[in-house]
Amino acid sequence: MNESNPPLRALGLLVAVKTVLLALPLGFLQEDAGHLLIAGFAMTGLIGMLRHRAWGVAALACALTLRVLITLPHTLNHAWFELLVALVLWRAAACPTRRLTAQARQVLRLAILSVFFFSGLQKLVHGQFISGEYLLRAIVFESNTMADHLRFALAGFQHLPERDVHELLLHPVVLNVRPQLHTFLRVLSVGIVAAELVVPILVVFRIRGARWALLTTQIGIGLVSAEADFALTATGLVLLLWRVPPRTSWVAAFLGWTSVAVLTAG
Amino acid sequence: MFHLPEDPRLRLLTVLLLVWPPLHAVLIPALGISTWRLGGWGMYATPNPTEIQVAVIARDCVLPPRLIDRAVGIRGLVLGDGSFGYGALPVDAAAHERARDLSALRWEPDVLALNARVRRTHGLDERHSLAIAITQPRIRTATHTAFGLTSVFIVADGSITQRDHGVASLAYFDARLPACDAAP
Repeated sequence: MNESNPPLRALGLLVAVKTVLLALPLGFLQEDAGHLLIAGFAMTGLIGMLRHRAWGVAALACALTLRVLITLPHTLNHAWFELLVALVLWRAAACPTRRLTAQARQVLRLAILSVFFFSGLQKLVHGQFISGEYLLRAIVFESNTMADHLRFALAGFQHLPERDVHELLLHPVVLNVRPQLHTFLRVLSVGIVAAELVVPILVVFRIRGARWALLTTQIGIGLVSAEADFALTATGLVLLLWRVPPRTSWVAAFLGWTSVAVLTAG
Repeated sequence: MFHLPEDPRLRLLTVLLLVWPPLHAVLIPALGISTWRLGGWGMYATPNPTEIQVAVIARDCVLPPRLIDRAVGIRGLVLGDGSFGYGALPVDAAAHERARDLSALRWEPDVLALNARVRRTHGLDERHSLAIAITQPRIRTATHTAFGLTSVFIVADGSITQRDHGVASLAYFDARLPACDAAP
């Protein structure tokens, strides 16, 4: 990648490092050749990008394409999104003129605003999130990092023991949920949806402080969902809203979300 | 203001970004596909397919004693009129993956693939009926009542002989496994 677009290069490096860190342990622990191959491509990408080479970004795009292919039909939307980001970076790196770089950054800005707005819209349309049901269900029935995180964070309101979904095969179950907990979850859910819908529009109209609001929303959502993996990519894209994000912001994003991942896993 | 990029490849990606997310929001639910799939931005809008639970249920008389001893979760379930005793088979992780296909793209053959895998794993005769129940948890927030959105498939001889879907517990589904004396 050309030296003239350091923010795009920083974003590429961020995604490549993250892909290596995620795919490598999966590949070794599960003896999964697919994930090892993804890690190999991402590592090649990392080396290439450190040396400002376009083939580095191409290798990263290969890693993310492979991830989409081997997870079909279960491929999460997050993986499709990161593939799109890699393809845009690849295009900018293959022909690094100032004009193309500017266009690529514009597409990436549109991409992150689109993710915020449409995920807010879908949460509004389907109704399960905005009613507080989604987060409540996660606390009661799920066994994953987000659920553990929420149970831990909301223990001050009430400790709800994890329930087995198989119970619901037999009969409905009345949950002993305190009204304060439900009200808090509802307020949190409505706040998230409102921020996802409104803040991107404020950014488009260049309202003062909107970029900071989007960054805060992104960090907040990342912390609630405890999904440090995607939060890292999304934070990198939000940083592109600034013309020249300081170098320390990329390092802070990486160290911050890596710490969240380590703490959550712990 | 925003302009479409002059570069044709970037323009294509931009058009995709502008067109697919709203289409995804409308099309995907109508097609019965999870909002977590196919590259729209519907994450967290509906339950993640990983939340879906699978139970395979057979009559006690069909299960070998070793499986009855190991049966998990809903062993001893008495359905409907109380005359049937059932045991649940453990569903391994790979079989669970198969069942999740249902929530990605609703292909019925996946129920049959799950059925075949469970029978192979536990050495069950193809002629015995098995009930495969796939449950998605929901909560009525007004009453804090959790319930299952359950699909039940009765499978025998490699085909689905009966199916039922709905907001109910399995006990009230009009799906009955054949009595023990009717089983081969």
